[in-house]
Amino acid sequence: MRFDSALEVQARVFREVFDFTELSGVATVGGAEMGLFVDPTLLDDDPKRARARKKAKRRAVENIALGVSQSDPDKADSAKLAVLVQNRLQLNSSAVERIGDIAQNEVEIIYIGRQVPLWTTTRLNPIKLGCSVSPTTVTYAGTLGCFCRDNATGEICILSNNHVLADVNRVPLGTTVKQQGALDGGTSGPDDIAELLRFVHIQFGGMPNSVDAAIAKVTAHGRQEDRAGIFDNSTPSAQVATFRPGTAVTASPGMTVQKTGRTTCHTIGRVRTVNVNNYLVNMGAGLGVARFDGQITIDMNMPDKLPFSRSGDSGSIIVDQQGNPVALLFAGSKSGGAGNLGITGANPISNVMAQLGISLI
Amino acid sequence: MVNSKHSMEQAVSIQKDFESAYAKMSGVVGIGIGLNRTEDDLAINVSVTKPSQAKALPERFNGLDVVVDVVGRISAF
Repeated sequence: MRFDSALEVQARVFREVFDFTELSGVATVGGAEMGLFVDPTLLDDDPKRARARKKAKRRAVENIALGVSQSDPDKADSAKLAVLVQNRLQLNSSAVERIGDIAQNEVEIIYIGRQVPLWTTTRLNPIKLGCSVSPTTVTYAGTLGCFCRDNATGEICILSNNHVLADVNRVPLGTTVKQQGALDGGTSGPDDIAELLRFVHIQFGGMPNSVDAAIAKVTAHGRQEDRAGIFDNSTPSAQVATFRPGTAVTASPGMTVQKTGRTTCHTIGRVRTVNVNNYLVNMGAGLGVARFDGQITIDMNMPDKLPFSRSGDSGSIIVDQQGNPVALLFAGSKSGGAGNLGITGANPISNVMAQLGISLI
Repeated sequence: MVNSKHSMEQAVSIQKDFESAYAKMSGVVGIGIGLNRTEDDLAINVSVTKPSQAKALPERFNGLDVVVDVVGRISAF
């Protein structure tokens, strides 16, 4: 069927099978013209009545999600209603059968399994490379890259970006850092793991920057630390590489690299360019563009077309296939590069270490 | 590392001249060294924000291919 027809079928299923209420006149994501369907039990202020309604009708459709799939983007009539099921028992349920009837069997039923939050966004014990962190004074979250030692004092620290740990020069030294970060629900106090020790000032006005980097001194947090494991996206996550902090590697075009970060977790990429100068990065609302010289860019290198990084992955340590450190992830675009999935920007790790005065551990 | 016709030092030297000519051009948001399309030599790699800006750039410069990536906006992640 056509994409529009699939959306109409989806609307019918929401109305007739899910018993959802349509709120008309609400703008929806993606721009397609259709009303917003909501579960009335989630709108009901009376908890008793909501529970009763939920019991009666909702069990059948619980944990089923709807979408539209298109097997061939060039064929306008190749759209189908996609039914995403979290429980195998639901594959043959009456609800799924009814959905099939309404869609006249132009449906694709996909078993997606139980959806759980990505481990990188949760509170971790042990604390692992690639997990969510932020200062306690902000609302976002970035990534803990790796552990390091301050050469001046010998103190153990965590490494990330200036724009993650210091919100682009704006967080006072000594501010506590929490894991998980603010955006992921971290609580100031109980989730604190470090305090901001030092950052390399980011300059604006066309002055070239070399790194976007900061360290926070690890404080007594009562949790274990896994300073070496690089973990993948499976549940539970499996270790796919061991971080080898001693040997910084210089990137070259075509080199295969990997990272684990807060948003896209473990991804594999390919160095696209080195020695990138005049790399112009929007640092955030009201801050404008900062120029970086001597940077590395990376695009994705995976069979399942996923970007190498997205917002929230900043601070990830990028390593080669053997786990040797190559770069510190800090920026990127959402288009360009392999699959047009965006190109990631990173600071050569040797510059990060020199500018901050640290050794990786 | 790909066994390229130009060394990295040679490519960086050509990159410097390219930057003098094109770094100030509107829409250029990065100039680096990458691989050419056949992946047998280094190339100048230019990131621009819009497709129209790619047309204003040369296909070759001082013996190196010029590869253009249309990336849109680059933001701190």
